[in-house]
Amino acid sequence: MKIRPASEVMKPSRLGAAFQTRISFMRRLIRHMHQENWVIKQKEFNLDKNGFGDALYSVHTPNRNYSLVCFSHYLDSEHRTDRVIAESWDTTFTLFDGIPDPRDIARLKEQTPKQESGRFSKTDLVLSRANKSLRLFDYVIDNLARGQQPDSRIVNDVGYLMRTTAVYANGKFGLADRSVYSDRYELREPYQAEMLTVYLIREFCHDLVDHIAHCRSEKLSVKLHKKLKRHIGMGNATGLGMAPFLVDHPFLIHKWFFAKESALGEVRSIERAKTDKIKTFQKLVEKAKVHITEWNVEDKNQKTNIKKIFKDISLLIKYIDNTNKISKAKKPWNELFNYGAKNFSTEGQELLVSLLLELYPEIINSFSLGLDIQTENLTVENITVSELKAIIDKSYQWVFAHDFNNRDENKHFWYYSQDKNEPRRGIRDIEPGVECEMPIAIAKDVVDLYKILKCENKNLTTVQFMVKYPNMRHVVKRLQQSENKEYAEIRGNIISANCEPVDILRGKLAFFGATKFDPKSSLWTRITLCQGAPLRDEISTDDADDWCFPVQPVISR
Amino acid sequence: MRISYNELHTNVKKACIAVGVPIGAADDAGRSACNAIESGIDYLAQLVLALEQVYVMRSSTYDPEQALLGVFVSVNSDMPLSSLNAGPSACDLTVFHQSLILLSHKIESIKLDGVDVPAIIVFEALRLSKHLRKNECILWSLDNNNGVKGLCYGGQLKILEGNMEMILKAYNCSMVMKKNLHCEIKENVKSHVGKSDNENIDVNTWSQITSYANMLLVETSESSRMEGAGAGIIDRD
Repeated sequence: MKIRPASEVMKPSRLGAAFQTRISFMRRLIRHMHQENWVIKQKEFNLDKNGFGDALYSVHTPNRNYSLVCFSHYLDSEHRTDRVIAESWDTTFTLFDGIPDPRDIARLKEQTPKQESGRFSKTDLVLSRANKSLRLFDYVIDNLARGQQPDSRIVNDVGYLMRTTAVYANGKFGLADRSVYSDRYELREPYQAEMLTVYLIREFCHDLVDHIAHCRSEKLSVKLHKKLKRHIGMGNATGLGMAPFLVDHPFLIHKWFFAKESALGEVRSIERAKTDKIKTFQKLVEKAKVHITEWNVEDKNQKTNIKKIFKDISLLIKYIDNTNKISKAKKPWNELFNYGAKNFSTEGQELLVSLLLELYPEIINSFSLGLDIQTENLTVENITVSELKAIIDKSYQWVFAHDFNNRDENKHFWYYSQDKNEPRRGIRDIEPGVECEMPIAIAKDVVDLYKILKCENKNLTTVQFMVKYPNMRHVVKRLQQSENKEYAEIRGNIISANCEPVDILRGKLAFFGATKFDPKSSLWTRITLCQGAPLRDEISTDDADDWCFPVQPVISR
Repeated sequence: MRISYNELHTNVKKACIAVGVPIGAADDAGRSACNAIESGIDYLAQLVLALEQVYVMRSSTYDPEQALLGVFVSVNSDMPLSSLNAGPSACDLTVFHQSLILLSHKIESIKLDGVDVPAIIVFEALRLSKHLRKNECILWSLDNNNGVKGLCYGGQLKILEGNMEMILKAYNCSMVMKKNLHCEIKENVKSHVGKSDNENIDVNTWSQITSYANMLLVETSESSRMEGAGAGIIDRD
């Protein structure tokens, strides 16, 4: 089965339609926790009646222990911002390698609340912070303190008690380099330490609202219902910083997208669908329909897209209604995929991809392994100018769709601000700072390189070429590195007036396992992670893979 | 102080870009710095010197036409040759073109005239030597007052004449590099590669590298603060 080409998959508009899948990083983590029976314990919970203080959660895996060190602080509402420029937060966290001793705790108490201004040690794996959702946090506590459960519709509308506004790892601010733990079975796949941190923060949030409600009214208060806890995920606010990462790691990105497309290819290749699989699919689609119905956003475009998905799902339900017909069809999932490609919106098509990948865990789960890379191989391959030009002709034709003589194709530049290194986007020729532009305009770089290559001696080697044109060194090396890695590049011009960075963010966030995308602008989105995931005391018992497309629980208040 | 390898790579790369080193060479400088510290060799003070040389325009880049003939000379004859600019290209040529004919000229070795901080190039060669085949090595020599010779192979560094201090102190001297396809490594010459040590980075040196890296940060304005990131500055929901 021919898999979808990068020219289709890596377009920003397609990335901006992505959904979480079975191979997403959070899904992989929860599955792994279940397989190994990880034990998570609340070890310390020293919070006052307002929920301020510190807490400690330990994670026991077969090989190692990890701990989440939590700090909860008073925050003036005027200082509550999702932006990197924030100086203080409701809560701050460090994922610690092992079980911290009192000296570690004292050190982290000093450093963790400072976040980017703090200094961390090689025992500190992840640094994060989260702010309360003002729409939900107090509402939930008020209800619990009165002895009743919060309305599940309101819980669903928001979906989280807190939003993380950054989750740092890999050596930032002195944290452990990824190489420290990249050979550990439990953390070697991408972003497993970060996902574990997010999962544990969610547990802390649940305990925090129970605690404050109990302190408010020892006699009346009740604990948040387990079904609601499970439906509450972790919010996250994501801005521009995520996009340069994708551009800077072509080999890694290729691995992720190639795995996803290969997995889809496997499902589409299945000759016959057994009845039980068809029935599972029918149920899953019904569940996804409710999930989509419960996806509330303010963004106009996303609202329109959700409406289109809803129509797509209706068509899908009709299509799969006849179990008998599907069970007799040859390569039924491929037929369905092709039907979706012809009749669904882009988001509807990507939802279908996500649904199809759910059906065969016995085939698909293995695609979530081996998605890391140890190091980017940057060895110079000594090929000729002619061969280098051939790489562009073969794999980079997409760059020529952008005419860089057109001002709109050069409209933006991306930079880091002096304001806490916050990534921002400016308008070239109008805003200052273009001389500090991030080198992420790959399409333009390749076009510039091609112009030179066309005029050069075709027998010159790339080493000689780079000696002659040192400013092209990074582009030449990138092309050599990306050769035969079809999914290495986002097929768009990141500095163009038409570029919607939020599309690129969604492409990556979907790989994390994000749901309920809630764009706040073309540069910024909120999401929910681990909504529906088993709670810490359910990890070893529940079906750890049966939580995709979560729907609002029904509970009596 | 302890610096993570990711910080080291990122800040050295940014510092190089900030002073005007091309992006590709800047990335190589960051990787070489990490490799050296992982090998227990701290030459960050020399790196700062090399950055300063470029920043205050005391060193300049190489003449590409001459370089293609195997001779790296400064484009400005009054200035030393910038090791940060010349290092990656000179090492590439050494590794990939030794004994080959470059533009009709038979080249036996790569020569660099008046290199500002030769240590930068030695440690670039050390990193690249990890990718050499078995028995291959990069032989190099510095033509400073006392003369220093050594070789890099498989990520190992052996100093045949002179010592590490002489490499680190070398300034504005000529250098020759050559790839040997059948290197005989004398076992009695000790390798200078030691244990990874990112725990004892000099605070002042690191602060200087960071200062250069921070030159890439754009001064904030009210409009960039309000509109550049695509989100408001207070969240009430």
